[in-house]
Amino acid sequence: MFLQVNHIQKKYKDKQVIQDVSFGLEAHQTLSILGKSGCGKSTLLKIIAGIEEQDNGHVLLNGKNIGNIKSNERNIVYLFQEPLLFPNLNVFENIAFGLRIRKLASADIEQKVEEMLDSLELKEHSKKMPHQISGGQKQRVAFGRALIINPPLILLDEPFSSLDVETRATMQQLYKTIAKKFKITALFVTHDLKEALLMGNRISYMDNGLLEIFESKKAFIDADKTGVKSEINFWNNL
Amino acid sequence: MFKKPINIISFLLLFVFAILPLVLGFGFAVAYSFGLIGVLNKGFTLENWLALFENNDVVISFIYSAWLAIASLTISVVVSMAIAINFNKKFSKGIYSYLVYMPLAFPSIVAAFFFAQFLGNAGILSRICYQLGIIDKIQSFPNLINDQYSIGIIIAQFFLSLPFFTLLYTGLYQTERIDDYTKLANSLGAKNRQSIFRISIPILFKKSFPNIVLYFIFKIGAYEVPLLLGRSSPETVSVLAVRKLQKFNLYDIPQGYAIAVIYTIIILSLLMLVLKTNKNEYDI
Repeated sequence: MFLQVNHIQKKYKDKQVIQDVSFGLEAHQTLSILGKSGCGKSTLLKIIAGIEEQDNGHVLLNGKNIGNIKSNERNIVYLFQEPLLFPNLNVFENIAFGLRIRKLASADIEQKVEEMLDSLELKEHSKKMPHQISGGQKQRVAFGRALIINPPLILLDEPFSSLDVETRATMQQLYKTIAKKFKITALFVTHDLKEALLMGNRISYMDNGLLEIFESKKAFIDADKTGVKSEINFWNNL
Repeated sequence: MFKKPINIISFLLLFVFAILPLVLGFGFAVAYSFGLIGVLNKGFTLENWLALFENNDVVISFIYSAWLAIASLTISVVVSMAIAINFNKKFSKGIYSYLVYMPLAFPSIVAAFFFAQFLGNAGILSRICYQLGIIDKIQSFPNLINDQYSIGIIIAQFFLSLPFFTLLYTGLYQTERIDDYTKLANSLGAKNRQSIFRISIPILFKKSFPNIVLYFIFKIGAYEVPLLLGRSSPETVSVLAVRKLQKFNLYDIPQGYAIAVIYTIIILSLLMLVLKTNKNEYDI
């Protein structure tokens, strides 16, 4: 397994946010994690990213335990619910950020960023500041900024939750395209059923600090707790 | 222009209490400096303005005031930003959040007297150093009051402005989500030093720039601290203007008003700069 998570546990004061989570993920696959607010899915991502520390368990990336590696040295990118573009940098510099801190040559940076802007259809916005572009464009910049450093693993924490329905659908399509193009390995957290089904090669459900990975999409749909059946019934009985 | 009566009232209040006094005061100063009004003036003349620029006193005074404001502000901004970045949690609640307000309770004149007593050649610090055996005579202590480099003024101004900037930056640290940006920068591979210099400091500086300019305007006009802790030459703008307006030679009064006119023009230009900087900030 490319990513192996073993018996992760996390407690905040009296609340056991993550009880005991274990799973594996092959390279170039996206695992959707569906769950209600407060079920521990964001905490799980933060632990894998190194932003939070687990109480027990360990995370292996490509067979190597990354528990003692600082977040800036893990090369795992955590994408927040909001795009969080650096407000002091324009679109070009936001995407170039990861390359600049790695001290790449200016010509290389320019070439890579131009290519990324092209892939994300953001070329005409490259000189704009974050407050001058729309929510969907911001999210695309955030993707570009993460992808350009070619991270082995991307953690997406409800990245489209703040977007309107139409932009969200466009971004979901865009993600599918770039995931294939850049061979992304990712964990995609969402509380939206349809999004979980659309985005993941594999689908899981998190509840009360426990994670269950389903064998297939059919198994996910058939399980009562995921709420897919009640959603289907709702639309059928309308 | 005015869609509701309340808009007319608010505009009138703004005009009567904010704009009108400023315009009248400025007009009075201009008229006085050109000899159009005033008991000893005899009609329009450029003499007062020419006399003002006969020597470099006024130019030096403006440069000196700007230097004092820039020096004390730079130290305050750097120290308070460092506090906000490194100890923001401590200063957002608990005893530290109260302690930081303390210097705000000191009027400038009290702070000036305190530093005169504390930093003077035979002051408290000098005596402590003597008792500790750091210096062999009390008079050996370096002169920090009325000194050549205005160190006493800069320290006093720093003391007075530090709480303002500490509160500003600890507030901005929370509202601008610097913690989230730092985590994100780290997740993209930045070391702590890189995220501080490439992200935290530029965001804090950009957001506080209007406040820095406004505080600069406030400090360039400082009177009590430079009067008590500074030398007689060079003088700050306010000290020079007050000397011209209130001291012995009545023929110097128009020059005092001319200084006030120059000062007002510089301040208004800086305010325009602030307004222009804040313009065009919008979200799509």
